[in-house]
Amino acid sequence: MSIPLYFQFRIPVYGRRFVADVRIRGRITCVEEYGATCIYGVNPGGLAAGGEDMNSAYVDFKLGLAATLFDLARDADTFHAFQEAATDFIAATDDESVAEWEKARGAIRAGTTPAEGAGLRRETEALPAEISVERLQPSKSSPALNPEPRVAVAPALEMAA
Amino acid sequence: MSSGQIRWNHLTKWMDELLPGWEMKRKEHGIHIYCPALKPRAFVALPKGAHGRTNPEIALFHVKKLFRFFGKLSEARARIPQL
Repeated sequence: MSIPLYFQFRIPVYGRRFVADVRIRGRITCVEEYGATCIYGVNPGGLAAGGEDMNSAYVDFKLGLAATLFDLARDADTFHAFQEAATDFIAATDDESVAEWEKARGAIRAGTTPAEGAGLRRETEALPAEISVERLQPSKSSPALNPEPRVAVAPALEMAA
Repeated sequence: MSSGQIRWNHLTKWMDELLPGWEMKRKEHGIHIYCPALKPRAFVALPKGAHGRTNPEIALFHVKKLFRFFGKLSEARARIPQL
């Protein structure tokens, strides 16, 4: 069974002489195979993760995503170089991953995959993948920028249906 | 080695066959695998500990992602029965 998901992810990333506020809405597919729960990125397409269940696999995916963003920041000489690299990474995908996600979404809509079992909110809108990379100015730093703890810690997954 | 893994040195042999000119760039938190001949600027990220010197095995979901991302999954499946 494949489950099509949207995820949201926000993290501050520190680079050379810049701090970036990175916000991502992406797409992933959750599949039970190889004796594990696997998560395959659609956007970003160049990342996979695994775990004992959907939540642990998603935690693994978030760790991989954060690690990749940190490595891109380390490679970037400027904020704009990081912004471009991070945007390219999220946009990169492949036709087969997109097709698998769309097929899984079709199965949810057709009722051939039970949507209730995952216990996730259903998102019926077709949401494009998005990334926002904004430069944070220290003078504009504010506790208000911190997300709600529930949002910061929760899986932030929605089933595409 | 669990059923969900293959050996890293076996994987690189299949990469040599299917991903012409592939490149591995070591990073602080993992590695980035490029195949400029297939996707010039894009890469697959593998987290530290998933591969290589610290772990001679790699999980099959990473292997599947790697070949699928570069459009070579069906060819990889013909060579790697576990996939």
